[in-house]
This record gives sequence, structure tokens and C-alpha cells, in this order.
Amino acid sequence: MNESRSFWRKVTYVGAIVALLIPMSMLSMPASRSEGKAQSGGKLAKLRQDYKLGQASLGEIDPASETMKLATLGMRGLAVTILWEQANYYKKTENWTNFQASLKQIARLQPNFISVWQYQAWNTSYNLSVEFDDYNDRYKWVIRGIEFLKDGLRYNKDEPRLLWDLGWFISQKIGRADERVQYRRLFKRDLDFHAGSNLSSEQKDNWLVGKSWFQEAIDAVDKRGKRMKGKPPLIYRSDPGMSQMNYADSIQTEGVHGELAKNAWTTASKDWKKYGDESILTTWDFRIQLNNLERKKAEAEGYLKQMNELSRGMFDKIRAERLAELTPEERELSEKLIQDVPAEQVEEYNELQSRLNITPVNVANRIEKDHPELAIEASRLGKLWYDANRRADAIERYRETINFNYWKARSAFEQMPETLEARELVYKAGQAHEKQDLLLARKLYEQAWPLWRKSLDEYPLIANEGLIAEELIEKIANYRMVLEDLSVDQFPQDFVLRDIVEGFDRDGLVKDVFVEPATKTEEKQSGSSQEKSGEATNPEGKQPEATGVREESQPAEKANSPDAKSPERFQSGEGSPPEPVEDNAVISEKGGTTDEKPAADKKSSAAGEGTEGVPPEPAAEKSATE
Amino acid sequence: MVVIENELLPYFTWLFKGTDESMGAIWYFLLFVLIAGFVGLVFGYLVAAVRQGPIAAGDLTYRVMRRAAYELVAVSPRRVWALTKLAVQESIRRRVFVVLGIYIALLGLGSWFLNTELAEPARLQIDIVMTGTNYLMLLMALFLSTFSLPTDIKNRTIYTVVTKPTYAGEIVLGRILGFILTGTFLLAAMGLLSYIFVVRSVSHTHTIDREQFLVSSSQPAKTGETKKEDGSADEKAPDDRDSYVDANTEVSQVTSRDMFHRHELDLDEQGNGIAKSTKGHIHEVHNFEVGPPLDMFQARVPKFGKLTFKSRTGQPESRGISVGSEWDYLSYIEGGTRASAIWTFDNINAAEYPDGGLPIELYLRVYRSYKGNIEKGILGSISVRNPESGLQSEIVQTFRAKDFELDPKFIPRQLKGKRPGETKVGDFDLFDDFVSSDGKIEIELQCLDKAQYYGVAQANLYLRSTNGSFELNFIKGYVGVWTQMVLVICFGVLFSTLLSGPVALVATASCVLLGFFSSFLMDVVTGEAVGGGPFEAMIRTFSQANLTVELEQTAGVVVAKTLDKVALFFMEMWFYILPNFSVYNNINWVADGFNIPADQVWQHITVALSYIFGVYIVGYFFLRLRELGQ
Repeated sequence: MNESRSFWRKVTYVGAIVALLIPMSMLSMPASRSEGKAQSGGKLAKLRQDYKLGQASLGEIDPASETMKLATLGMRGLAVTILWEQANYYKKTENWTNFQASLKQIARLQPNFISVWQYQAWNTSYNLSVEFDDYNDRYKWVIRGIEFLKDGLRYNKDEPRLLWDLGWFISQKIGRADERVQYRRLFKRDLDFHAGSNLSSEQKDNWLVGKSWFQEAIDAVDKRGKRMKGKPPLIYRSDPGMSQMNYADSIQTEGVHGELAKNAWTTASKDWKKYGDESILTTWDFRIQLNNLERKKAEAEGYLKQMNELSRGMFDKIRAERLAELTPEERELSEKLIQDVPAEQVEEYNELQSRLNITPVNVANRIEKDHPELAIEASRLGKLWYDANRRADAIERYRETINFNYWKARSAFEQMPETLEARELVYKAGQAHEKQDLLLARKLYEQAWPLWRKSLDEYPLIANEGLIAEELIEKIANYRMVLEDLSVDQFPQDFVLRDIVEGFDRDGLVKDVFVEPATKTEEKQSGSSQEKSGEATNPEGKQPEATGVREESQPAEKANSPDAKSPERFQSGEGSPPEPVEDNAVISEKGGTTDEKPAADKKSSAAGEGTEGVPPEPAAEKSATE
Repeated sequence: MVVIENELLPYFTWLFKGTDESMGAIWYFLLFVLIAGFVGLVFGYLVAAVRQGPIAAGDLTYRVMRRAAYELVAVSPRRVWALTKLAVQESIRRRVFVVLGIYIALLGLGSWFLNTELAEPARLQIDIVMTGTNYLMLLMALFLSTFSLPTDIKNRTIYTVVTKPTYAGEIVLGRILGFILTGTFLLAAMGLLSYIFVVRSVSHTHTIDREQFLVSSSQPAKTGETKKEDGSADEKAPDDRDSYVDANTEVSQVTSRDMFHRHELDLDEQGNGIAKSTKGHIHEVHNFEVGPPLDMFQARVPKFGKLTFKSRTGQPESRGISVGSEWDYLSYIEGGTRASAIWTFDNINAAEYPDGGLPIELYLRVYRSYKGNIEKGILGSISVRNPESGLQSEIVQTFRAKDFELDPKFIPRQLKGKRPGETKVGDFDLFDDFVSSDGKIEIELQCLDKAQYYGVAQANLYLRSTNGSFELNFIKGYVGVWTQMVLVICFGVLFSTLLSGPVALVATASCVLLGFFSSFLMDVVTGEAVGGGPFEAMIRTFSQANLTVELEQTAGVVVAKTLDKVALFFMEMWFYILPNFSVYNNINWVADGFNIPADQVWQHITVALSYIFGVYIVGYFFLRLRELGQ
């Protein structure tokens, strides 16, 4: 009896084992290749293949790494923690060789943990490099961090974050550090770094090499289906274009002018246009193209017009009804200007304005009730308007985030023959000054200023943004020194870039040369007139801020009304497109929001007062669009 | 650069005299023996008194002590040697030499893990290979020593020994010596293998493209990166546009890239000269043929001095100032002030320096409080002074600091200087005038650039006479490993006389582990490490309170702190018994290319012998307790 029970128990066990083996083999059978045919293996192997999680799909297989992972017998986490501690200790005690060796071991234990590669590469390039006094040593450590990222790429093929970091380190660390002059020089001559590449001497520029890595990161996303985690597409897709502009800017600073510089900026323009054409996923889950702003605005405008025609005065009717629904207090509040509204009522005020802002969607809803025969068409127009309007709004916001308009204008501005020549003249003047050839320096400077004037007049957006202006202030300060060395009594009071000096000389390098009674009086008068018109000055006291004064009619209404400027007019330079409207936005006098805008817009706005509140189009926009 | 955090004393000073704060090592040892002997005696008497009454206990204690005194002294070298051979045979029987096979396999795979692309490949290779050997040896010693006696006792094979006319102490001593002998043989084999591995793995050469070199030599130089002798970059910066267009002109002025590096060349037209230093070595070049690496493995023989400082106002200080670095090993002197670092060297005599002057090597850290000219190093100076007569030299040498680099300097024999109180500058002899009657000389370092800083430690400036043998230094490095092995064997055998194999293993492993962290333990005991003792740390761990947060005085915290006081008392006791294993680690010296002082080697050997002696005594009583070896 006992023997029999024991026998059956064993049979049961064997049966259970066999029964378990079948699903297990279906689950975990490895993929294989027999007689030239690929076998996909079990479920897990298939999943691994589908999601590209096998080591071979992730990147190179390193026997050392695999051995180390196995040798830790499941204590990989502990081993890594100890190694991190060690690395920190070596860093503290300045034992750089062992520090670097620890990083290598950490990376081998966790080859697919991207943050490790990113963190330690940054640690090496940014933190360790500055421990050294000799810039040659510093450069070597910057490169070691970059090489570490390249090692990471071997284990993590096409990983966009590592590709992007490579672009960033090569372009920004080398091109923006205090030692950038030396770093850039060393980078060009770095035989080992460029070993195996077919780059020409010109292409061995850190900005261009960085650009190619940025592009690789974008390609990994677009062409190889990888995901860029933690970086918005708006930002990382702008990097190749920005690198090209930084390249063009850098070579000009280093004294490369003429065709080479022009070509660099032409390429930058093309890159920026390409960027503007890229389809970018927004946080609202729809895609936009930055170059489509005008088109989307025109579309919205067209639908609004059609809706107006269809509804026959429905906008005014609904608005009148809503006004009638308001209590006397609410009506009084709604009629106030924003600056007159007490802080505690701002929310209520904004809500009222939102209610009184009649959109085609509101009109479509009303038509559905009042004129059912027009409902289908009204609904269609309402939806189309809504879609076009929100896309235009999103494009505008995104453009502001990366200062799209400025860089678009800048790349066009830099290609102007006047700008190219002006830059070359200023550079040569600086060199003449260094060599104490003061007369030549003066002559060259004085040839350059009118050219700068002409370029800046053509692109007021550039003039008012400040970046170029600040660069010019330094040059003007050098010019001043030349004049002083030549014992010229007075700085020319009719200096063509006087407005630039007065507007942007925050450090007071040159401004004092224009201080004279007449000017002071003018400044005072100008200041008081600005105050009168409700314009405040910013803390630096240079740029007028948007005032936030509310206009009688609603900007949305204005923008949507048939009387608003048509896109054709914007493009022909007769006026700029009205600001997009965001719900609950604080509305400005000029129909814009109080978000900080380029000074050019503000100045233009002031100039455009009285012409339907629509400022004239800056010339830069026009040219860049062309 | 070797880091010496604690001053190394001459052997006999360490053994007998000690320092101002502590007495000689031998007195500590004797004190410990006395205290331990007394405590053991009292404890033994009390146990016997409880079991047999006070008078019988007194008699028993007397008899035990009398017999112990006799047996411990009347140790027979012949019997000990026989037992030693037995232990060796047992080790062989237990296939201890498998460790050697594992070691060879690990070395074979070593090239997977040890890359030569890092900044100092030789340093890293030596460091990792020797450290690996160290851990492997300790592991081997741990298993070998802890399981031997318990297995014999368990299998009763011990009776084949104890039934012979041997004493318990001889059994213990025989085991210890046998295991040490086995371990020493293994260590010697591993040492030899590791030496071959290290030398072979960094051995390399380069090639030179002769034609390109000759072509480029005939062209005017376009480099902007060449350095002057003083370490500063060539001021003749290249025309940027020129370099932009033609950045690779110097391609042919360097060697080929092998083993992740290349060298700049300093050759004449016949192709003779050197490939300049990269990754810590140079190559000689003859007729464009590059030789093997030189200076990769060194054993510099430094003569260290004693470092003091002067503040910015010229007042004597024991340390310089801190620039906020977390690691306070270095302290800094401010440039453009009277602040200086002064090294005082003893026993200076002209005969030791045949070149006529004093060769020194300087390893400086630079801290800039403003950027300044980044193409130039920070300016500094060196001068000498007679500490007795006050004779002060004029600045011997000004130089630009080379950060993180050993910078050799030479103080010539003939110097100009001024006697104190005199204004006239005269000519003086370095050894006759600047060395005091008791053989002392001061070397003063100053930073000359205002608001910039030099960071130094005592070992960062030394006199260098000759180079020692790297191979001998390598062996000395392994003496440290050997010392640690002996300590593990001693603890292993000691515990195995009383405990079963696995328990003895855990106990010994704990001792080793604590020994490696003894500096930290001491910090915990002295309160230097914040966060309290083990119980308080446990509360902090579970309540996720960080180390510096003040804990609320709840009942639990009060209890934990009270328990900590007891725990810390025992920890402190253990601290004095447990060896600090990290002290015996000489590997950094070898890896950094510095000769390990003989004093240090002898100190380690002495410590190892003292532990053997201690374990011999205590092990004797433990075995007697188990009624073996009667």
C-alpha cells in the first residue's frame, strides 16, 4: 500500500513537472537559428525582440560587462553603490585615475542605465576639468567626458539622450567655456578625437560637430523610432539650427569674414526654416509647424468672416444679451480698464471679459437653436475657426519660448552685405587698435558705423532685442578709446548709433559721452511723456514695458473682426498680425497680452497708436518671411 | 602623488620612543600583555573559585600558570617545525593551490577590465592588480586558518597530534607558521605573476613617419600650444584664421597613436631624441625607431621634511588656509603676501648629493580666486634658509606652477643671500652656509601672484636623490599584503582553537571587516562621525532622519543613546585590539612610483610578529580550555 502511494506520488510529481515545463518552454524558449531559419523562440523572447530589449538590440555586447554582471551574483545594486561611493571618494581625494576607472566599472555594471552615462560624463567634463589649472589638461578632461558618452552609445545604440548630450557637450562646453578660445583651437587640432572622420579643417569646428550630433539625435527619433525622454521637441529640434548660428557667430568673432561667414549664416537660415517646417507635438496633443503662424491666422480670419456673414449680426446680439444679464455692479466692473480694477476683483473681471468675448463657437451654438437650417454650416465654421485659432495661438507661444522670430531675423540680418562688411571693418579696426595704428582704427570704425546703422534700420527687431546692441556697445567703447588716444576733444554728438548707446549701455561704458544739457532735457521730457502715456520703464530703466491698458473693444473680437488686417496686409508690411488671445489673458492696450515682448514690437506699437491699434510690421519679419 | 596623512617615524623611534603624543610601540605592546594577562588571570581564578572554592581555585590557578610558563617557554623548534610541515601538508591536501589557478584565470581575463586608455595606465594596473591579489590572499587565509583546527577536532584527527609529546602552544604556533608558509609561497607566486602581467600589459612602442617629420621640420612652426620651459604657453598665439585653415600642420611632429596615446617628438634631423612625456612615460628614439617606455615604473626615493607655514602677515602657523575644499589634506598659501610654506629637512650633507646642489620635486595644487591669464601658470618662488643662523637666500628660482604634476627643481650650490640684520647681499655655499650645524635646512615656497593660491601638504615637496629599484619596491608593496595575511591567519587560528569552523570564519571575517573600517569606527567612537552609535543610527535609518538632524528626546531615543554608550565602550576596546588593515596597505606607494621606506616595512613585520606572539599565548590557553593538548 505504502509503496503504491509512494509510486503514485512520484508519478504526480513528474506529471506536474512536465505540465509546468510546457508553459515554461513556451514562455522562455530563447530565439535561435537552425538550418539557416530564424526561430522566434518563446513569448518572452518575442517580447524582447518586439520591444528591442535584448542586449544585442540595445547595443554592443561587452563580455567584460556581462561577466561583471554575472559575477556580482545578483548583488549588482550593492556593487554599484560601493563603486559610486568609491568614485566620490576618489573625486574628493583628487585621485583622478582611479575615479575614472570606477566610472568605467559602474558603467559596465549598468550599461543600459542612461542617467549613469549622462551624470558621470557631465561630472567629468564639467566638474573635473575645472580642477586643473592648465587649460590643456582641462581640455583633455572635457574630451574624456565626451568619450565617456561615446562609450555609452556603444552599449545603447541610437539613444537620443546620449546623442543629444554629445551635441551639447561638444558645442556648448567647448564653445561657451571661459577657455573657449583655447578649447576651440585644441578641438580643431585634436587628431585623436577626429581620427577616422573625413571632416575638412573647417568642419572640425566644435559647433558643427555638435550640430551633427544634435541631428543624429533627431534622426534617431524620426528615422529609428527612438524616444527622446525628458526633452521637449520644441527645444531639442532647434539645436542644430542654433549650433549653426553659434558657429557663424564664433568664426566671425575669430576674424573669419566674407563668403565663409555669409555661407555659414545662409546655412543657418536654411536650418532655421527647416526647423520651422518640422512637425512639433505640443502639450495639447496636436502638432504644429512654427512656420505656419501666418497661415493659421489667415484661416481663422477667413472662418470668422464667413461666420459673420452667415450669422448676420449674431455677434453683437449675443454680446448685448450677455451685457444685459450683468448686474449693474458687474457691468460697471466690465467697463473698467484693467489697471483700475482692484486686485481682489481681477479674477471676476477676467471672467466677465471671457463671457463678453463672443467667439464663432458661441455664435454656432446660438445658430443651432435659433436657425436650425444653418446649424450644420455654423457648426462646421465654428469648429474650423476654433481649430485654426488654437493652433495659431500655440504656434505663437512656442515661437516665443525659443525666440523664433529673433533668430529667424538674425540669420537674415547677418547675411546682409552691410552687416558682413560692418563686422569685418570692426574686426579689422580692433586689430589696428591693438597694433596702435589709431588712425587706421578710427577710419575703419567710422566706415563701419553707418553700415551698422543701415542694417539695424532694416531690422529693428534685432536693434531692439539687445544682443547685438550690447556687442556693439563694447565696440563703440573701443572706438571711444581710439578717439581719446587720438586726443579728439569730443565724441561725435551726431553719432549714428547714439540710440543704441542710450538704450543699451547698461554698464555706462559710453553713455556719458552724450550727456549734455539739451539731451538731458530731452530725456526728461521723453520720460515724462512716457509716464503720461501710461508706459512704465523696466528696472534697468531702458525698455518700455507693455502697459496692460485695456482697450474698449475686446482684442479677440478685434482680431476676429472682419476689419482686422488681413494676412496679405501683414506680409506686405502694412501691419503686424494681431496678438493671439488666450483665455483669461490680461489684455493690453495694443491688443496684446502683458507677456514681455521684444522692444521692437513695443516701440512699434507706440508708433502705431491711432492706426486701429495695430502696430506696423517690423521690417525684419518681412525680410525673414521672404 | 603619494598621500601621507600620518607622519612616518624611524623604526626605532616608533618602537621605543614614540612621538610627543604617544609612547613607543613596544611599551603599548607590553602594557597590553600585562593588562590582558592580569584580566585573564583574575577571570580564570574567579571561574575556578565558583566551581571549586577560593582556595582550590588559587591552587589550580597557580598550577596552570606554572605549567603554562614552562610550556610556553620550553617550546621545541623541532616539534614546531614538524607541526608547521603538517599544516603545510594539510593545506596542500585541501587543494589550496587552486587559488593560484583562479588567480591565473583572473589575470588572463584582466585585460578585459583593465584598460590602458586612462590617464596613468601603469598606476592603475599596479593598483588594481595588487589590490585584487590582496583581497584574494585574505580570503584564502580566512578559509585556510579557520577551518583547519575545528575540522581536525571534529574528525578527531587532532588526537594523532595531541597524543604525541607536544604542547598546546606548539600546536597553535605550528598551525600559524604552516599557514603563513603556505600563504607566503602563494603570495610570492602571485607577486611574480602580477609583475609580469603589469609590465607586459603596459609595454608598447610607437612608430614615426620619417618623411612627414622631415617635411614638417623644414616648415615654420604654426603651433600655438607649445609650452615654454617655465610651463607657460607660448605667447606667440597663432593667427586664428591661419590655424582655422590649416589646423593639422603638426600631424607629423608626433608619434603614431598606440595604446590610446601619442607623444610629441623632440628629435634632431637624424631622428635621434625623445618622445616627450605622455601618460607618465617617455620613449627614447634612435634613427626614428621608438624604444620601449621609460620612467613608467619608478621608485623615487624621497626625503621628506617637516612642513610649517607662515600666515599672510608672516606669523608662524601650523597650517595654511582652507579654500573650502572638502578634503583638508592640502592647505593653501596666499599669493602676493608674506604667506609661505616651509619644509625643514634633517641630516643634510653634501656627500649625499653628488650633483652639487639639492634636487627637489614639487607637486603643487593651484587655486585661482580669479581667472587671470589662463594661458600662464601661477607664478611662485623658492628660497632657502638656515634655521640656526637665519641666513636667508635670495629667490633661488621663480617658476610657473604645474598643477597636478611632479615638477623637478634644482637648488644650486652657490647662492646669494643675506644674514639677518644685514643689508649686504653676499655669496654663500648651500651646504656650508645654509645647512645648520645639526644638518637642517629650510626650503621656503611662496606664491607670487596676488590673490592666487598654492595648495601643499608635507609630502608635496621632497628632496630626491636617487631612484630605487622598482622590483624591490614591488616586493615591499607585497610585504604589506603579507602582513595583512599574517594578521588574518592569526585571528583565524585563534578563533578556531575555541569555536567551530563556520563560527570562527564569521568571527575572523568580522575582525577583518572591522579592521578595514577601523578609521571610521574610531570616528564613531570619538563622535567625529555624526549620527551617533549603532542604536541611534538604527533609529535614524528607520525614521529616515538624516545624520545631522537633532532627534526628538523620546523614550526610544534615550534608550538608544544609553545603549550606544555601552556599545561604543566595547567598540573602543575592540579598536585597540583590532589591527587597522588599511595602515598596512603599501600599494599606493608602489602605484604612485615612490619607494616604500624601509622603516615602514620593518614596522609592518614587527606588528605581524607581535600578533603571532599574542595568538600563540592566547591560543595556548584556549586549547587548554578545550582539554586538548594536555
